[in-house]
Amino acid sequence: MFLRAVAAFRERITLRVLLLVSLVFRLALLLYGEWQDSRFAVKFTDIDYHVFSDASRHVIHGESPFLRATYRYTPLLAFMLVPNHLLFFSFGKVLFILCDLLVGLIINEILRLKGVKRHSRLLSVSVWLLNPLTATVSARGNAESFLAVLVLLSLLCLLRGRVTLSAVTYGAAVHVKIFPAIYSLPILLYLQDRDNPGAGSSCHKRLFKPSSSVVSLLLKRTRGFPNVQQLRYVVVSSAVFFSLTGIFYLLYGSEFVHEAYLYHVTRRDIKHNFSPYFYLLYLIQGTSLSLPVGLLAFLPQVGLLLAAAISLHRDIVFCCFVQTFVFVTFNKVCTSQYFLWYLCLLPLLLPFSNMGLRQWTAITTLWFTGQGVWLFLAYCLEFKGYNTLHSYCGWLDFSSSSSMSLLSPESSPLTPSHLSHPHKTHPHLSHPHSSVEMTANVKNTT
Amino acid sequence: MRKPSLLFCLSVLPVVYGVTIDLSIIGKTEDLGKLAAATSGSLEEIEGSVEYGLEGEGYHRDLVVTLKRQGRGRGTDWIVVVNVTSQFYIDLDQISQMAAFGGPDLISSGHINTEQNVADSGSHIVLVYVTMRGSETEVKVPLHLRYQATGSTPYSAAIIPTPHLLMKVPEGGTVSLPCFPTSPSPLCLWRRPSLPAPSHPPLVAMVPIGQNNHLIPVVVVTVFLTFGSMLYLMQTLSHLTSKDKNCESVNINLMDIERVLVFPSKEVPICHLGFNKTSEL
Repeated sequence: MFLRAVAAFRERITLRVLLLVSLVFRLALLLYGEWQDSRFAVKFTDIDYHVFSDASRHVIHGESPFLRATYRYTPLLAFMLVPNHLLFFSFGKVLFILCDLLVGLIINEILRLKGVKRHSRLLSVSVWLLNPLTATVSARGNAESFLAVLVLLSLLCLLRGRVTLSAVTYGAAVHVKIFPAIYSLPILLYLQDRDNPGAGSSCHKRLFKPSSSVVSLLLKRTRGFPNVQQLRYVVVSSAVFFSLTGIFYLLYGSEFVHEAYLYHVTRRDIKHNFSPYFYLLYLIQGTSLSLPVGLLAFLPQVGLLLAAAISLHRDIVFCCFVQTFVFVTFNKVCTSQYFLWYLCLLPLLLPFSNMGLRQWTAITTLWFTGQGVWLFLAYCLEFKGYNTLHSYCGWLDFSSSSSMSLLSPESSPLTPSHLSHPHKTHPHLSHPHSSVEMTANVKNTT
Repeated sequence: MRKPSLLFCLSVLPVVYGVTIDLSIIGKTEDLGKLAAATSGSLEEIEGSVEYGLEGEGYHRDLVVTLKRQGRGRGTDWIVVVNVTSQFYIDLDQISQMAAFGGPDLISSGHINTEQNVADSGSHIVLVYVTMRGSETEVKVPLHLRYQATGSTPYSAAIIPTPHLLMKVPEGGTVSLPCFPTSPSPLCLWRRPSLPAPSHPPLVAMVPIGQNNHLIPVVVVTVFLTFGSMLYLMQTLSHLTSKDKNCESVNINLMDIERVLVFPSKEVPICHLGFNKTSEL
């Protein structure tokens, strides 16, 4: 009886219901935020939202949005939030909430394209839509969901074979935030494999020793580079990126380039943050070690980005996730909002995971515990004045080990089953109709 | 009666709570300090005291100014002149958000960068406007300490200079400043009162700092963990792709075939199935 009731309840849950529930959830958070902001000095609204709004006020007055101190984003965002001052102040929050819902729709569509069954799809989508972390972020006025829409839309179009449209959204995503540029290599390699499926196959791999160097592997992968689709992708995405950037450069000059892009590349934050390098950079600031160490710190990040692109590009979604995860984890600065960059890709991997509920719970607990401990040490440092800097090493180890557990080969919850267990169903073999066997009428044998 | 020096007349740019105004022609902090020190005579109309203190711990404190007045008299409007050195900052955006909740009314001599560390930041003058109602008035100004240079001890002392006090007077003032922390604002005359209060020592806040003797272990641990993680993940990626080597890649020409029957073999699993361009799976 109970199982029947559960089954009946599961049948009633549709994507529409999920979207409705998550919309109501987010609007409730938004209204609560308005109430808290009007009554308490401690605000619910993200400080960045005020930065966006102040910048859009300058835009309305025909001024540069960069007159607002700490506005380090594309002017496009300031233009988008002009209705904050013409209609109502929370317009931007509503916009970001709608972007959140759009992310859920795109996740559902990508999974449908990959042949994932309805129940698994809804479960994955609900990880994003019903996640209090993502809901709070958009309700507080953080713009990460807008970037997530562009990135996921780019992936969706790529998987559908809509190369031009994918390139347009990809170029826009790179303009909004520079980090999606890391996806350029795996996308190009993916397009090469689509055009020449055998280029990266194991048949060719057998000609090489198992210990092939990265260079030979890269040369093998890029055989036949560039093809028409790759060229089209590069040209279109570059055109979109440089057009948007060029327009705003004409409007706001080099200040735009510095604040929106160069600042993020050269940024070195010595204040306590999630980066494993923060204490090292603090200790060496102003010394002769600062520059060489800063350059050396790029090595793990760049090395892993390249390795992931070369090894995993055939599963472009998983590759993008690994690249984003590596980029965030090994960056010289890491704040909480950076986690959303790969959290929006996580639901796309869940249906292909070979892990059970217990393992998922363990990994999630480990991740949140690591973050909680790190934040507790930060609280003791910033607000209580205890010198917890020396204990960072221990917690760095804890945090890094919890992060690395996500990508260990045997226990990884996220390694797609086709990579960890080649005998299992391969997503490349899956079809929207979920059938590998098709009857054949052979006209001419080959 | 001493007329206000022309050097200290102020042209006021648009001012709202917590936003900057151009105080450059008011002179630098040192000049204001010299002016205050040179002010002579006692202010017989008022008896009272002022106390300065710091509340809170860590990097985020409140500068507490308590004004006490005995008897009636002039001078109910005051300015607390805070010399914001490079060791700390006042977040003007935070001040503007606190305005609706009884936060301090203040204006600044320039934009205060909240992200810089001690070595890279400059100093500013902040004028905190206080209207005295009753015999005692307290105002709290949130201030935030910057990350200090590393040292050999776990803590370092951040010095917060003792603020100056200015009282609005109808005449006999020695400096012209905005009457109100609003835009626009007329100028009023202010002077430093001679209050029967002992001089306050500078306010000191102890803040945690990085220790130089941590450098070597931090370098070792950071390099070990980051490069070690890199090698571990590369080995993982290599392990994942090496499993691909044990499976077959099959390419099928579908030019003359409408449909295909595929039976993956358990002995030789298929890891990649390719078709010609005109066909899709």
